[in-house]
Amino acid sequence: MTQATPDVIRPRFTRDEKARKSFTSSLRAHVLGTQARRMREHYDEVVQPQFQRTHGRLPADGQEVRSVMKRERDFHFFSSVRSCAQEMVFASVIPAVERDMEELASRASELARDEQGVGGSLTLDPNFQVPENVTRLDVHLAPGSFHAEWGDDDVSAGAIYDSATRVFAFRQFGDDMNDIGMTMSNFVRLRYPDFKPTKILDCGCTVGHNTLPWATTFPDAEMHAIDVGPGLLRYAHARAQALEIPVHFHQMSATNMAFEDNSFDVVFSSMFLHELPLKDIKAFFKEAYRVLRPGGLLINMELPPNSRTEPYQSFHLDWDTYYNNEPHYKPFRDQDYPSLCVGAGFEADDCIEVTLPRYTFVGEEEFSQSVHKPAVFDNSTGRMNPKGTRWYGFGAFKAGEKA
Amino acid sequence: MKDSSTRIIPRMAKGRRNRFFAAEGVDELLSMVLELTAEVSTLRERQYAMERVLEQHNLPVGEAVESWEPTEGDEAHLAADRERLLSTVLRTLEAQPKEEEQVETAAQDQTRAA
Repeated sequence: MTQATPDVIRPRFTRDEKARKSFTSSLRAHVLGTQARRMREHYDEVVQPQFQRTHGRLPADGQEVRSVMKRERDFHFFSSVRSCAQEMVFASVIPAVERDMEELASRASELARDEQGVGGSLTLDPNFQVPENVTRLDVHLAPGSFHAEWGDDDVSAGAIYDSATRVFAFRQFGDDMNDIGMTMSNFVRLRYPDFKPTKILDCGCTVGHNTLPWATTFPDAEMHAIDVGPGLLRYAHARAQALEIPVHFHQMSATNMAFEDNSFDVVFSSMFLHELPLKDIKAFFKEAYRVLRPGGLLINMELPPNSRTEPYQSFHLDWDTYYNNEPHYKPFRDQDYPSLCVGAGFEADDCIEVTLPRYTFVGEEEFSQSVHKPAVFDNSTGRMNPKGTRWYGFGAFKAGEKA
Repeated sequence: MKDSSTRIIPRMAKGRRNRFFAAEGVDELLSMVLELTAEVSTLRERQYAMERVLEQHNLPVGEAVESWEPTEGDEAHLAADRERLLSTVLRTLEAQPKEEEQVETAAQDQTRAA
């Protein structure tokens, strides 16, 4: 069953706007493929040997690679084109969203009335203070960041995020944009066949691309999802309703959840932690521990930690911290991930770490063979690589038998 | 098409734009080149779509265009068009001051240096 965004909630792009989106996707694929490869070759052939001659050793970490690469013409071109491409991602979708703003808001309101009896819900908090890590900068260079509202019952932030992420991903998140959720939920299903979650939470769900797979992989479970942006949540809810997948969306901070202790079997997040300052990351882990039932699982899909990636790969992955308005990206990747779990109350022995092929790309059979394999770290891990990305995940089971 | 005064959603992130090249303006110039390429790509896609649509209406215009040969008049028209395009694109490089304008240029330099 498809989980692609249905037409009813999609902005209508003109023929030329569609062409512009395709071009921007191609530009992203080109800069992250061809141009990135050229930059790496230049590093291997010129920059690294030069460093070795000067220092009598190889660069120790991503910072040292960055300190020398920053002076290189290849890096200037790569970065300038990549930064332009990122701006163009949003510029390619905003005009259509702006034009259809009122229509989309009214369609979303209609879907939210749930005349189909889907059973999902949306709870917004009118007194909610959107956290500073979202408001201070336009994260990802997205005009309005995750949270801006441009009209009544506005869903623009969600429509922009949905369409822009599709342009951004150049198909690497799967045809339905849900590969990360499909991969992580099917990992849990196949790796722990006796674990039967009845209540699942997705934190930092944005428009629910990776929320819905949990609901369909575990159809008997009650699915909840939280985020801070009202426009994202309205859109996420309408989208889930249109796809007839029941999810309960809440406007809530993952650092301070309104849920009761011991109430979830799974707490999931994807590409979320790296947007949080360290104090909020720690608060989230404590909250995840609190709301999990004994025997429950915290699982985060993320970028691999810097300790697991070679210096050049660290340098490459941390680009976003400097140029994509994601200042917490590198500080997060510098953490020892198991320590984050243990610091929140999880036992060291209960921590897990996985790297997984993309479920919707390789299919059930190949995927099911990979869920028992140890984690692999190379230049396909955590990076959008058309030749074979591996998603990275980590987390922990909460000690104790399920009640 | 909405002009910038009636736009509701900004087209750029707030704050200072990334800059990678030491020389002033190179990052902006690269952005313009990429935007221009996006425009060309969009036009090419539209033209391709138009040929397919005409074919669907039994007008094999793609083949006809391939076998089309310009007349002398067409050649002259197209050559003039190419020249106009080149001088437009290369204007900043080609607009060197003539001898009689050098006095004026020197005066400008003085003003700008002040």
